Amino acid sequence: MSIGVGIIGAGPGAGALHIPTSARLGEQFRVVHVSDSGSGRAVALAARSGARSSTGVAELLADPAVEVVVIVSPPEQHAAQVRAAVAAGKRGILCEKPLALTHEDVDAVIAECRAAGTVLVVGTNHLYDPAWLRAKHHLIARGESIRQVSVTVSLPPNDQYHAVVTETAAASGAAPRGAPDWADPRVAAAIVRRLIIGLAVHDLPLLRDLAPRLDRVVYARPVAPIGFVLGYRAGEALVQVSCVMAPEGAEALWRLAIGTEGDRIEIAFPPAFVHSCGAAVTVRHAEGRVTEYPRDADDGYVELWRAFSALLDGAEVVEYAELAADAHFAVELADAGAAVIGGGS
Amino acid sequence: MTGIAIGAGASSPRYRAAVAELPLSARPDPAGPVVVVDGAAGWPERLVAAADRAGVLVLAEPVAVAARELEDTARSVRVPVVVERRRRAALPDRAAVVAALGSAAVVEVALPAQDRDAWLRDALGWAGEVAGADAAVVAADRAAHGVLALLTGSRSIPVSLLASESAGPPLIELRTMGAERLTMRVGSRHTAVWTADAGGETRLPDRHESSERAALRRAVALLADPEPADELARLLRDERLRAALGF
Repeated sequence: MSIGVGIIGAGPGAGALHIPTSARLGEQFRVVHVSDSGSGRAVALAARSGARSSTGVAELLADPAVEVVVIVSPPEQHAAQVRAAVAAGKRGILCEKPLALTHEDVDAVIAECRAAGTVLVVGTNHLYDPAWLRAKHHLIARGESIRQVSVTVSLPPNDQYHAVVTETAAASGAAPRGAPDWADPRVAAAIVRRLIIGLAVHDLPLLRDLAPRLDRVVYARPVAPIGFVLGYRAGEALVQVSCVMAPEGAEALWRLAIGTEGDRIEIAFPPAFVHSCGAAVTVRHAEGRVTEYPRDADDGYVELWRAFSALLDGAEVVEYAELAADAHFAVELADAGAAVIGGGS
Repeated sequence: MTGIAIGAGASSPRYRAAVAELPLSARPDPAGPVVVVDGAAGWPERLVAAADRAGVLVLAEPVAVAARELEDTARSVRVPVVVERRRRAALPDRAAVVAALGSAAVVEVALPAQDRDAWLRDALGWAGEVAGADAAVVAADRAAHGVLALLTGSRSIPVSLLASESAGPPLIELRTMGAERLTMRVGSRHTAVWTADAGGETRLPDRHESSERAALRRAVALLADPEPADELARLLRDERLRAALGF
């Protein structure tokens, strides 16, 4: 018996990501309802699956065919929509990252999910990539201390990746965004905060696994046209996170490099949206040997949906405390980075 | 045919081999105008001493020294100095063009226990080169085994550098970010450079010439056509960046 899925949000996160990804799990899930916030895009998306469509969240949440909810709306709406889904008695929620934008919302969301026993997963797909589990296993087995972690993200527009996982009737026609006023510290701080909590968040649960504390942000700077660099201290581990979104150009680069007292582990993640395979893991051993692990057939998005399925089946238990800690860490880092920029340092 | 005087030190066998690879332009000559000074500890004194008898000096793989000491040395040496630095050879033209297009850059460094300071100096040198003229460390923090730094310069792009000590093979990895990207991986014996754009990734040709031979060619050319040499100044810039970190 398939589980009925309601999707809140009708942008690429729905059409190019979660609808096609859920289909990779065969008959386990079926999309029964798609809602948008007034764009009208839900109609076409829903029609592909023979699902209903609506505007806003009330009708979707009142739909008895909707057993679980996928939230792919703008980040500022996530927390309220999770809470609304819990209040509506839905069995499970897959919320795209970030779970919430403030500590208060994190606490409220987690508390209400926990009290209701609602299954909750957050779409931090890199956390579910088999490559990350392999890298983590290597680190634990070797028992070496983490000395440095570097996240490097350099991205072209996502359209080229949407095009390999879905079809769209026509280009959106949306005008390219103008460059932000980086000279205004308040604007710069707000944008970088959003980039940390909305883009770098892909890897923040991994960073928290590697270096659980945030002692201080050493620097944070915006990068033109859109991006930032940030460095922070986490005990004796040092971390740099650098993200740039270019208007065109080279293939997506998304890598995480971990330096220990001996080994060096590099993870190259595939671009967002695509399902070519999992991330690549290379270990440069202290003695000079290099190990390249074979890539898994499935990527973090597919594994995320499998994890959602396992939680709904009761085969796994929701780790609310971990979800909360990851979400708090994202808010803490975003706030700290923004404070450095807003303070003009 | 230029006479090359090769000073004593660990570098001398390599320089003898390099002279043998320049049979039409160089020959061994203890009294020659090109004097090779080994870069092991104590090189500033040896460099100053050799300057009196040299037309051009070649400083072979210098270990790190304090920036202040290097400033004194640079003031004392009145002849052009070629500095052989395997890890800081000039970027290929195509790579330099792409590096200049980046909107940010990231440097990751695995520092060896031996020669740690020279590796850090060279990594900072690359970071500074990408940042542009007048590059400076604008923020930094140190841990027990590593350092984190942000550099900016005339290009007004941020360059983030993260270096830590490792028992593994030493490494400097530089990446520029943006529509066109440069990746440079500098190891103990080899440097590999890639560029990437919408058309894909290109591995630039390896430079198979030894750094000693390249240094001697520069020295011979300088002797024939003297011009202000900036290689010692470049070394000094890199040492100043290291001094700013205090690591």
